[in-house]
Amino acid sequence: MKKCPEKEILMTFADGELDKSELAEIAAHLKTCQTCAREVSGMSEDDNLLREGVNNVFTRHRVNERIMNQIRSNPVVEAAPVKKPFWQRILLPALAIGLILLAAIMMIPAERKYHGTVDSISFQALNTGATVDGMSVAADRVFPLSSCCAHQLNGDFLFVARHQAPTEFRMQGIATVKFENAVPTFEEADIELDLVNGEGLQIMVNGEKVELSAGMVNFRSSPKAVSASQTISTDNAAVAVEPAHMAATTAIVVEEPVASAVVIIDNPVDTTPASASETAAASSATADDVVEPVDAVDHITNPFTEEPLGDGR
Amino acid sequence: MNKHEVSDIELVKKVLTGEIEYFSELVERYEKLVFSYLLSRLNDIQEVEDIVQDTFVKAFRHLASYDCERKFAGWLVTISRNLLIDSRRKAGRNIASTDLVTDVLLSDSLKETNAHPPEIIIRRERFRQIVNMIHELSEDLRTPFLLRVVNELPYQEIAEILNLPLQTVKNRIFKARGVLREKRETYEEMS
Repeated sequence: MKKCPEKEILMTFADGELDKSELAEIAAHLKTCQTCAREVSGMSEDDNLLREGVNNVFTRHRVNERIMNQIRSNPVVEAAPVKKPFWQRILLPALAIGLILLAAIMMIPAERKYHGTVDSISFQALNTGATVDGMSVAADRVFPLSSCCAHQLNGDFLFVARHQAPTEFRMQGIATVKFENAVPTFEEADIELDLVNGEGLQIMVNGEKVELSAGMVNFRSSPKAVSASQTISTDNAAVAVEPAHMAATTAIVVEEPVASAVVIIDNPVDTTPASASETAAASSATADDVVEPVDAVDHITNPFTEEPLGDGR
Repeated sequence: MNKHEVSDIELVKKVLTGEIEYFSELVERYEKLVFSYLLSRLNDIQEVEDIVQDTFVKAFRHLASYDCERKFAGWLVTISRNLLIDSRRKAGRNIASTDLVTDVLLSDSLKETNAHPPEIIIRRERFRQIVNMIHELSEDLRTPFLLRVVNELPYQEIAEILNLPLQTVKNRIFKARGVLREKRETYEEMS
């Protein structure tokens, strides 16, 4: 005797769903296998019994007359809702909501925007007495601030932070500045900061997040620190930086004469000049290529006044 | 179910043009289907009747919304399923089930004859077993099985009406049959 088919095949046979090729094969098998034949007939008998029983119940519980009576009493077919195309169902409402939101946003008074981070930042001295890492720097020299190293600044500097639009701010005083996580960071800072131009800017000063906006802000690192103006007055040349719109806050009083020369920051010699005269002496002892003549500062332009720097001697 | 001379869609069109009596033909064709579907999912025969009625009345009211691409039977079952969900939600607040379907099936089968020849008694006992066994099946198995056995629908049509994959329908019917077969064998061994 051939092997008996799977139960599912027998069930499919009982349901009359086998295709013709299998149907003949199973029918032949059932003629020779009493077990499978009894299985199939048992299923069919149960199905018939169940069908008859449910039909009996159905016959007794039909509601066709009730249905038609209810319909006849109120033969109203509701109109089909108009099926709007996709752009009417989804796009138009979305557009309307978008316009409403846009209008709402535009009606909100504009708040000052702050840069979270900046793409790049550079600084330059605003007078000839300013030092970077203890060395005097030429006022026209622009230093990019990188994430790899910090600089000790002392003096009056202009910072330009670039994001979507540049932001310019002024720093007066002493600070260690670095560019950390794309945020200008001032440590051990004893400084005054003033936003000169552009949007507000987020910076870190002495470990605290500061949102720099218009108006001068003072920071002190410790009680021993001297004020920015004092620091500048002892070291710097007589440079009056007084843009018209910030005259009250940015005037610098210079008490000593300007240095006769400016040492390039790359010069490794004598990183801590005590005064302008010492700086000049030290620089004159080195090679000519690291010393700029005093006249070199004459063509440097103050970014606030557009006037030449270095004429305060 | 297009073995009829006039197709479902033609009947629908006639009803929509105002010849509402043609709707009775649609009721005639599908009342047992909706009844079987609900029978597999409800315990209250009165509720089965009410939802069958509501299903057809609602179908009539919304006939203009019927998508002719769909099977009419499938559309009816969808309406029925939604009404069933509503009914169950209400039942959650107001449980008042009376006539259990199983009891009705058994009591109605007793009414088939007053005479009690041995053959009828055996059949009745067998029917009682089947009804009890089906009652123990899960709804998911019970519904396609009843549509197959009571309405004699092909697997494919059941799949379309219940909106299930064909293989799922087959598997559920086979599983239901397997469970019934085991119970039958257990009963036969005991007796």
